[in-house]
Parts: sequence; C-alpha cells; structure tokens
Amino acid sequence: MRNNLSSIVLMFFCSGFSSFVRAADALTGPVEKQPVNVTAIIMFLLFVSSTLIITWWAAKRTHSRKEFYAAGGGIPAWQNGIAISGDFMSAATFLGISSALYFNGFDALTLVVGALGSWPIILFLISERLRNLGRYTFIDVLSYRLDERPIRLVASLGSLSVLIFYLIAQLVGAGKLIQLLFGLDYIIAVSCVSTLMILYVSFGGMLATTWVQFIKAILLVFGGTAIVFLLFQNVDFRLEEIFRRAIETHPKGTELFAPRGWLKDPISVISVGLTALLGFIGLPHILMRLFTVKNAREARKSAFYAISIIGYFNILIIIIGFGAVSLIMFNPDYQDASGALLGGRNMVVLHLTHILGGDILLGFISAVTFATILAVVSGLTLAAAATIAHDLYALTLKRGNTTEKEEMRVSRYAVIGIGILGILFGIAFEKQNVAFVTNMALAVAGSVNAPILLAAMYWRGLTTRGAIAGCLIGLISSVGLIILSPLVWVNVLGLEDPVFPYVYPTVVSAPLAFFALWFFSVTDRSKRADIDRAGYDEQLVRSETGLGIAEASEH
Amino acid sequence: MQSKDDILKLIHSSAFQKMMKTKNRMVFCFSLLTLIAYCLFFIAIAWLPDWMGEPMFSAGIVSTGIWLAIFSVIFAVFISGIYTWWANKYFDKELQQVLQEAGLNEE
Repeated sequence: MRNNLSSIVLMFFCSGFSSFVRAADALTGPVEKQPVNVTAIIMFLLFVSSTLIITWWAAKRTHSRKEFYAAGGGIPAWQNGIAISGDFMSAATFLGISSALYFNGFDALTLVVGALGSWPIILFLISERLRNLGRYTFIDVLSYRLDERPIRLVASLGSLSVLIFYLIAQLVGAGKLIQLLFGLDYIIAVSCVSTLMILYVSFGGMLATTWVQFIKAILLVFGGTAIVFLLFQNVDFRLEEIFRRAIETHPKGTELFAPRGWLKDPISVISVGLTALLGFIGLPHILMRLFTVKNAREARKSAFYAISIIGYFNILIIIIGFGAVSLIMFNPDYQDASGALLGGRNMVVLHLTHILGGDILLGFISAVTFATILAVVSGLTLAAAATIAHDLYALTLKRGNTTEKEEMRVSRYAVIGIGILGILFGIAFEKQNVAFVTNMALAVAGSVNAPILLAAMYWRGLTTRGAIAGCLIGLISSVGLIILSPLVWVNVLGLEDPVFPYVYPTVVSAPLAFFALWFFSVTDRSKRADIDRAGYDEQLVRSETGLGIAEASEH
Repeated sequence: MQSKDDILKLIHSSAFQKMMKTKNRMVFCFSLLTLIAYCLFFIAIAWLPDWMGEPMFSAGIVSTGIWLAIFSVIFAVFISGIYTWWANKYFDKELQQVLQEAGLNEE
C-alpha cells in the first residue's frame, strides 16, 4: 500500500505543478481570475505536502475498521474539539457569512446565532448518549433498539442526502474560489480538491482527516485573529470606531445594523432560526467526530472545546464583516467598472486581507481557505463512506456477515466513488446557482436526522414504523418544498411565482416529521413495536452509564 | 462484561434513579435556558425589528440586535462551560459510585 501511495503522491505533485505552470499563463486569461500569488502557492504547497506526509503516517496506523472510521477511538478531547471546529467552520462560514454581513448587514447574524444555539444542545442532549450508544455513525444509535435493517436503510437516505448536498455546495464553491485565488481552471480546481480528498480519506481514514481538520482550524483561527488585530490597529483599538465607519460608508446607513435587510417577514426569520438550530444538530459528519474519543466524558469535553473555538471565531467574523465595509466599499482598487466587487461577492475577506496585510497575508489566508475546503470535504466524504460501507453494505445488505477487511475495502471504494461523483457533480453544477444545495443539506439535516436522533434517544414510545414514517416524510417534505421554493422553482427552473414562498422549508417540514414520528409510533400495535418500546430501559442505562461501550466499539 | 439482567437491575436501583433525576433536571434546565434565549432572539428579530435596530446605548452606535447576537454567542460558550464543569466534577463521580455499588464498575 505504501508503494501505491507514494506513486499517487508523485502523480499528484506532477499534475499539481503542471497546472501551476498553466496558472501562470492564466495571468493573461479572463479578467475574473486573480493574478497568481506566489505566497499563496508556497503556503498551499506547504500545507498539502505536510498533510500528505501525515496521511502517509496515518495510513501505516490504519488497519482496522475502528481505526479507519474513528481513528481507533483514541483522539484526546482537546484535539478532537479543535478538529470538530475545523470540520464545522467551512469556507461558507468564513467567506459567506462575512460577505453577507458586509452586503446585507444584521440579518446574516441569524446564522451566527443559529450555529451557537445548536451547539449547547448538541452538548447537553446528544454528545454523551451518542458516544455511549454508537460505534461509527449516528445511525448506530437509531438501530440500537429499533429494527436494524429497515432503519439503517431509511436513515442512510437522509444522512447521504445531507452529505452529498453539502459536498456539491462545497465543491462548486471551492472550484470557483480556487479559480479566483490561484488562477486555476474550474475543472482542474475541482479535480484537485477531489483527488486530495480521496488521498487523505482512503489512505489515512479518520486519523488523517482529524489531523487535516486540526491543522486547518488552528490556521484559520490564527488568520482570523490576525485580520481582526490589524483592523483594530487601523482604528487605534476602538471597537465603536469600526462600527461607526461602517455606517458612515454603507449606503444602508444605520439600517445596516437593523433586521429586515435580507429576511423580509417574520416567518422567514423563524424558519431560518429553526433550520439552523435543528440543521446544525443533524450534520452526520460532525456527529461522527464524537466517536473518535474514548468515552462520553471525552465526547462532552470535545463538544465544549469546539463550542469555545466556534464562538470565538464567530465573533471575529462579525467584526471582519462590518469592519470590511469602510475599507473596501467604494475603494476603486477592489471594484470593477460597474461598481461590483472584484471577483464576486464572496471575496470580501480576501480583499480586506489584502488591504491590511498585503500580498503575504492574502497568500496565507488564500491557502487557509483552500485548506478549509479540503478539511470539510474530507470530513463529508469519510462520513458518507462510513454510511455506505458500514450502515448499508455490511449491516443492511450483508446482515453483518462480512469481514472487517471486506468492509474496509468497500469503504475505500466508496471514497473513490464519492470523489469521482464529486468531480462530475461539480462540473454539472458549474453554471448553476447552487444556493439551494446548502439549504437542502441543512433542511434535510434538520427535518430528518435531528428529529429521529432526538426521538430515538429520549422517547420510549418511538417504534420502527414511526421512525421510518418520520424519516421519509421529513425527507420528502424538505426536498419537495425546496424544489417549490424560489431557490429552485424560480432561480433554477426559471418558472414564475414560487409555490412555496420561503427559502427554508424547515418551518413546515420539521414539525411534519416530528408529528409523523409521534403519530405512526403511538398507533403502532405490531409485535415489533413492543420490542422497540421494551428495549428503551436497557438503552437508557447504557446511554447514561456507558456500560458495554468497549464491546460496542470493538464489535 | 455485563449481562442484560445486570443492566436492567440497575434501572430499578434507587442510586441510579437518584442520579438520573439530577442529571435529567440539569440537562432539562440547561437546554430550556438555551432554547429560551434562542427563541427570544429570533422572536425579537421577527416581531420587534425596530427595537433590535436601534442603538442599545444612547451614546453608542451599535444596535441592540448586534449586542444581543454577541451576547448570545458568549452565553452559549458560558452555559456550555458550566454544564461541562458540573458533569466532569459531579456527574462522573456519582456515576462511578453507582456502578461500583452495583458491582458493574469496568475499571
């Protein structure tokens, strides 16, 4: 395997260098591409080579299924906490929320508060029980007392939809961003990300993924802190001054700090709140990270470390988003002839970095942004591969009659398959408006994964039939309503007047899912339902005490 | 290794029930507090946009909404810290005691 790996590493580097050579030619290419930044490329190569060395090291330590999916369950809590935050803080958070603050003002804070509202709930209600009951995926927890095969099958649908939607959104965003930052072609950019992701995950499994996320989180927090420090230095360390200048520059004036810039009516606001709260709880790749620690106590501690870092970083984002206004808006260096932001709306942070720290800091932040995308897609791919190989192949299709070796082989094939699928989707969606894909991921996570996970852990009455009905109704209603919403109905299909007026369907689909979970459980008189309910006592004791956790993780 | 019977016995033991009562109360109160703060923030954006948009302090410029958003971030970190501290210091200890009394201690 080592020989394989090194030849692939070599291949990648050759193709990587040749595309950089081509990138240099792109200087004269289309206007929207950025000039090649040497610091960015050096930083990026440094990151890629060090993470590939880590992958090589991790590959030697990844032999068993437990090592592949959960890094052997031996990651220290503080390190896992940092890696969780690295998995959670995507490029969408860093670039997207800061530019939404810059353009639309206050309303983008709903997503900041949304993320910080769901994390304490993950800590209090989910982290400990999840760790005690599960092995590799959150679906393990659902099938603890419910009928294993149908539950795994249906829950995998929800889990995989979230992961694939999220992956498409990340890859399309990544392709465009790298095109801008490094002057690479879109297709080469997407292929680069997918290839690296396949290498990290298929060889290094969870151990390599953890390290990639860990390093990236530290770089991102360091970079964000540097930007904020320079912003403060610019105004002699007076916080108010940053906000005052933003209002004085922005055409919205004081409206910049008031609601209704983007969310025009109360129902939209409530829907965003509900989507963020439930959606961030139900992200399978984040939940999966809680299995990499020894026990419930470590899982709880890692959730707390993650919250602290995410909270700190989100406060930085608020300052960066508003701080960018006075420096960039109306600055002719960063607008094109029509007055639009150079390189597109998501470039706010990068332009700000350039003003404050010149080419060197811009290069650093560009490389960190690239690392961020890599770390998040790796986490997504690993979670999807675990669902395919563990939940679907080994335990549903083969009913558990498979060897560890075979399951790992399937999961590696799954990683490669997802990587190739990612490239194809990335190319197919290049010219599409992909805003709906992120919404779909969050809406499905909030309408399928979160309701069923909470019900399985805390409600004795849940039965297999109720869980399946809840999953399916949550999935169909959330995906269906997004297709009927302005994001797909108008923006993608080009039809007039959306059937469903809100961009987030969770305000309807999550209550529907909860209702279906409840209704089809309480009316369930089958024999299986008695087994499901009777299993709750044992599940409760195990979930709180962690008894049997060792057997579970060795299984 | 524990049998299913050992585990089911635990659920009827008064020590386990007492521990769960405290734990459930803590988890319930902390979750409720978080959700109340969260709901209030979103209700205020939905139905009190003007109040949220005005400066919080008469001399200042930053709106109530932004202060509340920053406050809710700090609140989330703070309340998580308290829970984690409590669970590390008290719950884990009590759990070990319950398991020891039931003869189920794994260590």
